Amino acid sequence: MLESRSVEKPAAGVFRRKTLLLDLLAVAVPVVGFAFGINIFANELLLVYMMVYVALAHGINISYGFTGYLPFGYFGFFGAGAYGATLAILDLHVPALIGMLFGGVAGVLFGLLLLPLFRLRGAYFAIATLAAGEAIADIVANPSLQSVTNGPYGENLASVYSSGQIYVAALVFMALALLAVVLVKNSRFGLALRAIKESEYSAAMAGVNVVRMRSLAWVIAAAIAGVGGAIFGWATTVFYPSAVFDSAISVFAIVFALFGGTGSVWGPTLGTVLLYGLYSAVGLSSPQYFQLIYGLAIVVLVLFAPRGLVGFGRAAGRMISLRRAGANG
Amino acid sequence: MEPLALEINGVSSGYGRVQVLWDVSFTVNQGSVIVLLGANGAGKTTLLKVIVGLVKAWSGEVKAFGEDIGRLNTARRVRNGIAYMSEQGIFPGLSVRENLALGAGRASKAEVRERLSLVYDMFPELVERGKSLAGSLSGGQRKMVGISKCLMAKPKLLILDEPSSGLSPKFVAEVVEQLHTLRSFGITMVIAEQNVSFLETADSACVLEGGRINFSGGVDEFEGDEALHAAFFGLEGIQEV
Repeated sequence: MLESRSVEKPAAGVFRRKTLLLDLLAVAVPVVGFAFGINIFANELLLVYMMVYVALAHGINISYGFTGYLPFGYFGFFGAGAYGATLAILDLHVPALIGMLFGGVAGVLFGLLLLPLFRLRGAYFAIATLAAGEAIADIVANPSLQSVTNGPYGENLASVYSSGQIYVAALVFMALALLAVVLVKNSRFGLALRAIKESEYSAAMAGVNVVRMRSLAWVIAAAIAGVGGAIFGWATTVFYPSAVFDSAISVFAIVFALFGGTGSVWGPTLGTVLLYGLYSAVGLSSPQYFQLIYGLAIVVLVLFAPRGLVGFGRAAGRMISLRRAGANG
Repeated sequence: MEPLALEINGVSSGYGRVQVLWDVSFTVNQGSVIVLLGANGAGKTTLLKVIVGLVKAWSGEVKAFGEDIGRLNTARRVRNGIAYMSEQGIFPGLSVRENLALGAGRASKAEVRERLSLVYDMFPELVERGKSLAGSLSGGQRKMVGISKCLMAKPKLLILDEPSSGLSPKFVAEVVEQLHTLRSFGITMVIAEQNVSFLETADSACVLEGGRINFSGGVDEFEGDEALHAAFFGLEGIQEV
């Protein structure tokens, strides 16, 4: 019915090769950095935690940065992953590396359970996920479930501890999480998610299957948190429910993602490396100033770079190019 | 008898307990243009939302190209060839190019290229503004993006909600002209408007008042009914048409 008059016009694609290459660079740089960083900085556990947080921040990136749903209860997936992997390793006797996948499955299952929360929006959604996270924490820590989860007494993975395997698993996991974000960002799926973030109604009117797309994004974010929790539990070796079902995990992942800038591949990685680095440095050297310095960093972010470091960088770049254009013209 | 693009039979609908539409019925022939006229709050937007599935019909039947689409979700209706431009019509936080890509849905690269060629042919201004955020464009340009986004879906039935809203008379005339062009492609259009200028491009008109169809018939018939015309648009309206 609608026929083109076949006029020669630039067939502008949405997904550009240059952007994709830059995004792939944002995967390669941290992967290479962490792969060789262990030779420079010997605190292996800190680097493992940092890689886990990089991935978690990217999980938030997919759920919030692209789709617009802020899950305060993100720690629920994390804890579910830690316990899912532990139960698979200790009770089903699967190898620890395979156990990490069980962590991802546990995160996904918990994510699927929470899908009805998408009936809520904004702050209501965020708070409902927080309540769900707290609820699962209480269930896992319940003494009546001691035969399954060991209740409040936590779990012990010392029998399968292997620092080398844990480091490689964390590195591969972080790389896969980053690649997932690159794929999301440079695909029609990612474009659909951004449309949903703009307006669910308008997205539906553009033919986007809103329910399916946001559920898929949610499941990917849950899988990332699940595997992250599994690796965290494996690296920590002995952990209690309060350690893996800790709302601070959500807060850190959200702050790291926002600090770097959501909706990008560089942002959450930068935010995590800088803030987690600061957190570790100040927390170890001058713990008395930790809250002050951390709070100041967040205040500065909110005041001067509300779109994160990447957003600040983009705005500065635009301003410089405008000034140059003004000077030349 | 011409095949029907759209059949609305006895549709009632609303929000929560508030009923907005009462037993609305009308038909649109394939390739023709109908303008839904009515004041603010008459139920025009609700009716359009019922057609695209954003609001459920409480009762009645909605058929597009002979198929009962009442149970299909919005995404399926869009894939079946129905495109809807709401008053806002665009994703302001996405670039023009991204807006157009979203409109194309699942089309192949070759199809996207072909449709872009058509859209750029109709709206050459968009070629230069491809990277710009749609929200940074002027009102007229936003309408262009909104209409183009719908065209990227290669629609059989194009539904436009107040395409003149927020536009100066000069831009309204441009939009009317663009709709004339679309008409020549044989696209069936349903246009909800308060601005009678759009009657120029229409075959028929429907007047909604308080959620009920007050008039349904040809444009000539509508224009000939001075009492109805005066009741809705005042004496100035009669002179304009």
